[in-house]
Amino acid sequence: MDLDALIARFRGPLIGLHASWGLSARDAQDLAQDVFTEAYLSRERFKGDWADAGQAGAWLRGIASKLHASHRRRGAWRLDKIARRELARDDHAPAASAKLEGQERKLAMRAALGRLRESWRTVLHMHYIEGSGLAEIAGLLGVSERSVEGRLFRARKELKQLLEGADLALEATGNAALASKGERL
Amino acid sequence: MTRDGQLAGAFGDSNRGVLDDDFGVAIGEALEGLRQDPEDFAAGVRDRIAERETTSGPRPGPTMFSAWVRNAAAFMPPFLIPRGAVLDAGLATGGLAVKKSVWKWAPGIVAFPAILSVMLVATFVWGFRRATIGDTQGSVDDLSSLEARLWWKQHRLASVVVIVGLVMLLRTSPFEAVAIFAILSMFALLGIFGALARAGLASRAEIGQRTGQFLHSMVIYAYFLMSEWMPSHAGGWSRVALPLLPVIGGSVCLWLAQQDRVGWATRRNQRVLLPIFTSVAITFVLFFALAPHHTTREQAAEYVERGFLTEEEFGGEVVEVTGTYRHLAETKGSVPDIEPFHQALLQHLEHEEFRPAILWDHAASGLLPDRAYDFSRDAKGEEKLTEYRRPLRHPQQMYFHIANRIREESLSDRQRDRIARQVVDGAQGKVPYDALEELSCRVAILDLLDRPKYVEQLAEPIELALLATWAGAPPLKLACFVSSPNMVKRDSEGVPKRDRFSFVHLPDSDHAVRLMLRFGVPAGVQVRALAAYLVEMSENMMWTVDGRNARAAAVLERMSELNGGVEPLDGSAWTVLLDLRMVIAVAVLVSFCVLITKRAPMSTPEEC
Repeated sequence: MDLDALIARFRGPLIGLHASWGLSARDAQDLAQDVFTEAYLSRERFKGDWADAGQAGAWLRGIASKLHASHRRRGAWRLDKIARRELARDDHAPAASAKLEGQERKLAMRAALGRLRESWRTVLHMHYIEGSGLAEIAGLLGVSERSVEGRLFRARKELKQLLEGADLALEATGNAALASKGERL
Repeated sequence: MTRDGQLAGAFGDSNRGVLDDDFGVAIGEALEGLRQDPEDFAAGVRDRIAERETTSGPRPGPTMFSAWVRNAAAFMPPFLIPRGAVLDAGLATGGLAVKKSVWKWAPGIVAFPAILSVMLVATFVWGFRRATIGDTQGSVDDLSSLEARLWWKQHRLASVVVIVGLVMLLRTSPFEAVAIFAILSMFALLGIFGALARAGLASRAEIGQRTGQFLHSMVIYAYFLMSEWMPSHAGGWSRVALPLLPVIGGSVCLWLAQQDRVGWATRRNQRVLLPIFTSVAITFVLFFALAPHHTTREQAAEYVERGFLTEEEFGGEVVEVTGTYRHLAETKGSVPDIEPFHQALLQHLEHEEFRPAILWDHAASGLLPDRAYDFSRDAKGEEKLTEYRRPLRHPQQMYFHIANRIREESLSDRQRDRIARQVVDGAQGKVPYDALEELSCRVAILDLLDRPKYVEQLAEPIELALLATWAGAPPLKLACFVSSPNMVKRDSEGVPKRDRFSFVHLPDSDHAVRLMLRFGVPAGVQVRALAAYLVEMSENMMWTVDGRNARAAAVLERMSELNGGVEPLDGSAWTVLLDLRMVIAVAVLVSFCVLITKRAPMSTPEEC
């Protein structure tokens, strides 16, 4: 078992998978490390081929879901939810007078990601954190690469529409604010 | 641009992740907080491996934690699997490892129906909580319900197959077969928990919480066992035991779990209190509202005293009031007042046709008011009575002809003898439909004619008819008499086959008891099984006693004479064990739960 190669292939998708389950960045990274640790320690039980993304992904996914359940039982889930709510509150309050640029654009993007369907958000997280390959994502999710491809396509399309809607809304809000200010003057 | 064109642009040729288009870059930037330096990440993994390899004790080997259990746990939703077992990373993830040895899945397959039933209850509870409490933002149950949804999605086909299979099994096999299957499945599920505990992969808090919740959720199923598995003469306590044992056992398991103070501290109390409250509430509702109740003598007497008659149910009500009153009057205790019923009967006869086939029994019991006989007169029929020369085939139709002639004392001794002979001759030959009622009527006519020596001649046809209509199939748990020998299902060797019996057979069983009280119980008829049938028929729902319940309760009361005088109840230890088999099975299951909880190791602070 080449641990470094395994980490290189699955690090991003695993962090993304945990993040899509609602964990904070730190917890998602921690749990991803735990997954590799457990996979390494229990490597003798794995009878498949580590080079096969489908087989290795299925093994890692099982460990990930169990570790996540364990993490949740320790009460951390509750804290994650609170953190996520706080984050969402920030995300939904971008400066009304400015265009979506820089930091605000990131916040808007994260807010839009939060509104996506779960399966779409998951593949976006898994893919775009490190630009990971479709084979690894498919292996972890237990679906075909074609399916991952389709979800990414639909997720991007939906995300664009959400952002365009937010953009227009902000423009309208900004114009209304300016008009109101003009009238008062 | 087509979808494929867009995808090609988005992902490039390498099939590797790309951040090369503007939108992809923007998404990547939004997620940059999740990114970690690859070197730091890999170093973190190595540190954890080194720490685990140096500090942790020997990990459970295959002998401690067998592939059987590991594979069985793969069928479970994550919330059912203890945390300690989760940390043994091989658990529930070894699909690839076991594909070549399908037999290793056996425990999981056996446990699947039990897991399915737990999931049904859990899904119901979460749905109920979501509906009543609303969206539980931030609640631990959020992910549990998510896991439950995922489990249903993954196991929908298997669930449908199991449910359909169980329904088919219920329709085609005795209930015992399904119950045995379900209990085996529950033992398999508990065995998995026990194995996890033995391997040190689950703490007492974890095991106790699950066994406690499992037993509390069993209360719902206990209701069905209770209604199907009624010990015939074991008394009400055994029925109460069925749902009560899981409640007590579940509470003991939860108490044991609380002894593991370190592990318990990580749990939330409401997750325990809710199932306890729910199961106690359900038990209360089941017992005091939905569960069938035995009809008492007083309730049967109240039914008679209601004194109502409806046009639609006239026949049934007369027959049931007659049967109930007759038996109550002939046993010790208060006798109901039948006068209101007679008032209603006379009003009915004022404007309705007199029906001798229904009223003969009432008259034969000495209950019919004198005024009612006026409606029964049939001058032509009574005149022709003495002209008959053939055996009497339909005694119920002839009863009032004979009764009226005797009342006006217009029958000579010779005529009485001839009619008695005709009555006896009519009972010879093939056992007809409604044979037992007919024979009861023949006995009543002979009593009316005061010809006891002819009554004795009916003993043989009565024994034949009783045996021909006795539908008792071994092993005898519950049986009754039926209207015709054709209604007794028999195998190729003539042995009756098991059947489900309903209230339809109550009149036949009533007449059979009367005949047996007078002529004795033929060898082959088990009074105890008949008593079990009458117990079932006497059960009323929601405390509403109808005619069938009252009649069955009255006949049952009368049977005490039969037990003492003719055939004692079979009260051997084996019979009692057979009767209580479901109570024993539930008790063993509960004991098993308590045992595996008690034997589970306490948590250590490190685990929490």
